[in-house]
Amino acid sequence: MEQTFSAEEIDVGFHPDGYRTDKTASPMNWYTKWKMLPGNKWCGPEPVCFDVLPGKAGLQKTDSIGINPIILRSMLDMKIAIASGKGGTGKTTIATNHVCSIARMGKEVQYLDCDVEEPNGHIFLKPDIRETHNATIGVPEVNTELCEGCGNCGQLCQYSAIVCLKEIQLVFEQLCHSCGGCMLVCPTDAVTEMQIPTGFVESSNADGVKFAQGRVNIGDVRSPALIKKVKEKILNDGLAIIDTPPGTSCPVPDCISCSGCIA
Amino acid sequence: MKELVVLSGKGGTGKTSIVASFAGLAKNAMFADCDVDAADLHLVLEPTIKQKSNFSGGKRAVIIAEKCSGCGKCRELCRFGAIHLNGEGNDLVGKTFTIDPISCEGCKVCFEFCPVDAIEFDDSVNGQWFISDTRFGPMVHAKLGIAEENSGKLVALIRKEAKRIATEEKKNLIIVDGSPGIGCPVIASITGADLVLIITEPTLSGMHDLYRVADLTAGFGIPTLLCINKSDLNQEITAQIAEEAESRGIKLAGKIHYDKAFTKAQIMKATVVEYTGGCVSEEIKTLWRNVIYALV
Repeated sequence: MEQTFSAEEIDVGFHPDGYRTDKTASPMNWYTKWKMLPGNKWCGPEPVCFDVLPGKAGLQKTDSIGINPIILRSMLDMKIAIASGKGGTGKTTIATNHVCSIARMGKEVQYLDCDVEEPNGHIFLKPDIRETHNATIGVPEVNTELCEGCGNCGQLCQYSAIVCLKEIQLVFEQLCHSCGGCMLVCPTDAVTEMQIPTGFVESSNADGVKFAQGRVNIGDVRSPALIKKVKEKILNDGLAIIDTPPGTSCPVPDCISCSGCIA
Repeated sequence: MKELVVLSGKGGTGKTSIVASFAGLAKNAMFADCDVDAADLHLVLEPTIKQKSNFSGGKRAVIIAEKCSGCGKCRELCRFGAIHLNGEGNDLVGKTFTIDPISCEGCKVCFEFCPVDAIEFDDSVNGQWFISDTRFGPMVHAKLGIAEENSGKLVALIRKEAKRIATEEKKNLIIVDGSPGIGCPVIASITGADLVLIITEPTLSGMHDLYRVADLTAGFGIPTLLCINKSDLNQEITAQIAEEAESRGIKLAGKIHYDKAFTKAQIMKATVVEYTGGCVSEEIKTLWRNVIYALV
């Protein structure tokens, strides 16, 4: 049997014509249309895009989700990071809706998705990706003919990414932080740097929104390095909204370090 | 002794609430909160700390201002942008270099090449970890410092201690509350685990993130189950997720309706199954039975 609800049970608010704002699982400019039953009961919710709602529904389209134009003018050169600590609080929802609202007000804005492990902004902004760059990270490569087995590289490395055992050199690429130390301490220049893929950075520029996101390869632990590549897309001038991952450990400070404001 | 790790991909899908309920249903288990930089399990399980220890995941460099000659070699070599000319002056120079502890990755290059030995390189304390008792059994948990690194190392330590305690106390099961994402703390929490349970939600983000974390567990060859929490919020996406899970060989072990009891139980510092005997509790118990069956 179809589930019915009383008006008080429907969160947020409802309109007598049978609409309510739906703030779960949908972008902010979607409403939910309900069937009204006798006895002020509601059932059969279906999502409806605001753009197709009949004018007589009496609802005001929320262009700026509450962004005061005066406040917006003061934000236009800011870099604003949206962070949360706990996951699932609505960072991406807030970030993408702000970006859309600001673009609809005719202002240019950048959106950077620095949640490179699980980027979601693209799902809602639907960018037409124009550029894709493979992001790489430098890891050591040892020329065994030049290596004298002195062990300097392994002794310096704080991450056990390079280990020299007499004439055997082992490189554990996933552990490397790309500090370059092993190359600096090698007396014979036997250690050079090779680039390995760590993920990719995608960007697009359309409809007033400059979009960029990073996506780390599954199984790669070097999110901070990829976040830095995404942040290279930040333009000096103009408003940028940076979507960050949950938590408080090293990826998050890498996301917020350039921002003027953390929301 | 088996180890179950609960993940999600997307944050906020209900991992910790479900792990807390499992704690109440398990007969002879202990618990590990591996979401070390945003730990929440303790909010419901209310552990009594028996042992508290500092965690040091690496070292950090510090410039001694009195010794700095201002040559800038450290800044030239630092690849992490951690070194800045913004320190107090000394007898030699008007300004000295300093190292930003948040950006410093502890690579030791600056220490190695400083011509005047003005840099110290010592263990950093990145957080604390705890061995505790709860009303359901022992718990190992941690608190990584704000903006700290080496979350993977701390997770590995938590799991190692959990295994040690489980062996000593003859526990059958370790239930691990994982963190969101697919990065190093997640990888550190699943290596060698017996079973992963992914908690997802029927949203576009939940679905997208589920597939990435499922790819991760598949890459590590770890048996994986799925639970769709808040499943009634979007039946179409729930069905899509169920279909994709089947095509990937991931068993759908449970579906849980959206229920405000999840929030209300948290506020009461109770597990959902302690808080309500309603339909949502029965769904969690069904999920638990399927998990136990898969662990056998």
